[in-house]
Amino acid sequence: MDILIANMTADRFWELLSKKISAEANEPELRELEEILGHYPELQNTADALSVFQNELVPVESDSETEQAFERHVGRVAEIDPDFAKLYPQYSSESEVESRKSAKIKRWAISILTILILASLLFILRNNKVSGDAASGKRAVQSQVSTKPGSKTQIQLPDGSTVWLNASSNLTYGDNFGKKFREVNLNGEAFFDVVKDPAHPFIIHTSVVDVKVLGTAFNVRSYPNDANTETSVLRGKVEVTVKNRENTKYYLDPNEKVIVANTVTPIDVVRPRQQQTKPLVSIQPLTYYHIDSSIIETSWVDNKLIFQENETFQEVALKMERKYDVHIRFVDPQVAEYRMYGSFTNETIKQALDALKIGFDFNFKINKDDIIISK
Amino acid sequence: MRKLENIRLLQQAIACFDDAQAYKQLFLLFYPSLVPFAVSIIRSKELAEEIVSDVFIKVWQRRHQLDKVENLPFYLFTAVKNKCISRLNDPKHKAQIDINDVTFEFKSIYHDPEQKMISAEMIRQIHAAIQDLPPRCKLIFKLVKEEGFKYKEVAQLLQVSVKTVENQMSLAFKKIGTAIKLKLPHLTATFSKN
Repeated sequence: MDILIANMTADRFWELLSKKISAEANEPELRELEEILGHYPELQNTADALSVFQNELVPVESDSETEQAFERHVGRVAEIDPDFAKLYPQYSSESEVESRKSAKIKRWAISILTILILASLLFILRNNKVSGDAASGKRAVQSQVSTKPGSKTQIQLPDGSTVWLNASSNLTYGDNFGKKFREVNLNGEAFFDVVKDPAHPFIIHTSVVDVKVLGTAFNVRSYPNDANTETSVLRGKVEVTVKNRENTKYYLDPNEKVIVANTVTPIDVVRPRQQQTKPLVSIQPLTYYHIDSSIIETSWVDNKLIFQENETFQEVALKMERKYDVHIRFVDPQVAEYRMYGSFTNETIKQALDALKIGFDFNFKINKDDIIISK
Repeated sequence: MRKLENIRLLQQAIACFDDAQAYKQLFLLFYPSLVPFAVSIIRSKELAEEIVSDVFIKVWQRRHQLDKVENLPFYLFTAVKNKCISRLNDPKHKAQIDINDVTFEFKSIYHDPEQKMISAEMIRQIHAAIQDLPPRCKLIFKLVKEEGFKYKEVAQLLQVSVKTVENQMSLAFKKIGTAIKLKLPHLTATFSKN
């Protein structure tokens, strides 16, 4: 009789343990398992040993066999979709015999193609002459929105996306916007709220990075006189490609930003004497202002100027110049290195500087748009 | 890594950006487990490889809808299963499905970052015990523990009841647990008959 009960309990034990380890057990089942383990403490070791299966399994790294399988797969897809093989140039090497056979055909095809291209070029050129300057001028149509220092603007793009353009910034897009991609060029800072449209990816070109999205809200800061280009994501997913460095793509989640040094070079140049303390590219969480927990990266949209603890007066001054359309000059380099934090919303430049003066030892003189800061 | 959120990222990269590198990663990630799964149904390595490749062709052709797929691993396994079955129903390939006849390779590494008490030797024994499981039991164990499927999903995939999956999982743990218990002298054989 004892044996019978023990065997029934045993089967139940294995069932409950397997469920627990596979995260399939409910509360009563977990309690029942605890009870059994309380009765038979010697089973605890087995349970512990088997709990190794609770961990995530690490699949074997793909071996050369899988790589070869993928190569064959690329060949099969290419039969259906010739463009597909171009995505994987490393696999496109044909066998010697085949390439020699096809070389002749290729040469013929190329000569025919050349003739066709020349003919169509001639046709286009002649056509353009006939239709006159209006047509040729139309091809270059670009929409451009610019902001002066100290001003901001909000624009609606043809696809319904909204862009807030910060001071001293410039946004352009061609008349092919929305045909295949939704492409814009940005110089400066802008906050984008992009309408979702998976068929037409939204791409922002800046001098340092390209940002590709579908439908999200995010901020791009790319001022030529700043040290870094920053892309901050509030909603959705964003792909950031660093220019001149193909295959360096970063996928950002909400509440993340990627900072790319504006001096980024095509190849990682080793600079022996000049010590590089900051990484060229880094991904960081967005920063929240501790007073009202607003997101600092996008605070400019609400007319707020927030600077964090680790910012120097010099960096703060650069932001103030943009917000207030002024020139700030430091007489004393020591003052420029002050580390400060705070936030301004509707203050005038004088009120803002007066507020800063409470905490820091400096003087300033305002002469119209010129501000001189001294000790 | 095989985490669902990482797979979602790959999905998004493929769907939104036609990312060829992400597509390759996805292929390399799933090919090694989809092929044995297909072999277990269709019993031909050659056919299995062709079917898995076909499924991935579909994935590329429909890539712009890929981010709508909520559970891609389950989707891939289901697609492979359906293709295998329609192949089997093809009069040219009359055969019986019998998972019990198929040997199944277990490839994953059981990784134990915290529990130092489990030695490499014991991991090896656990692996040996898994390899000794009956084929059907091994397949279910693999789908749950290696692919991370829920019991319900495995039941759906193999067209069996959830109870069957539960029973096979208990059997697997009993066998593995008993095997390592024999190697551990301080563990008394509580449930043995004497």
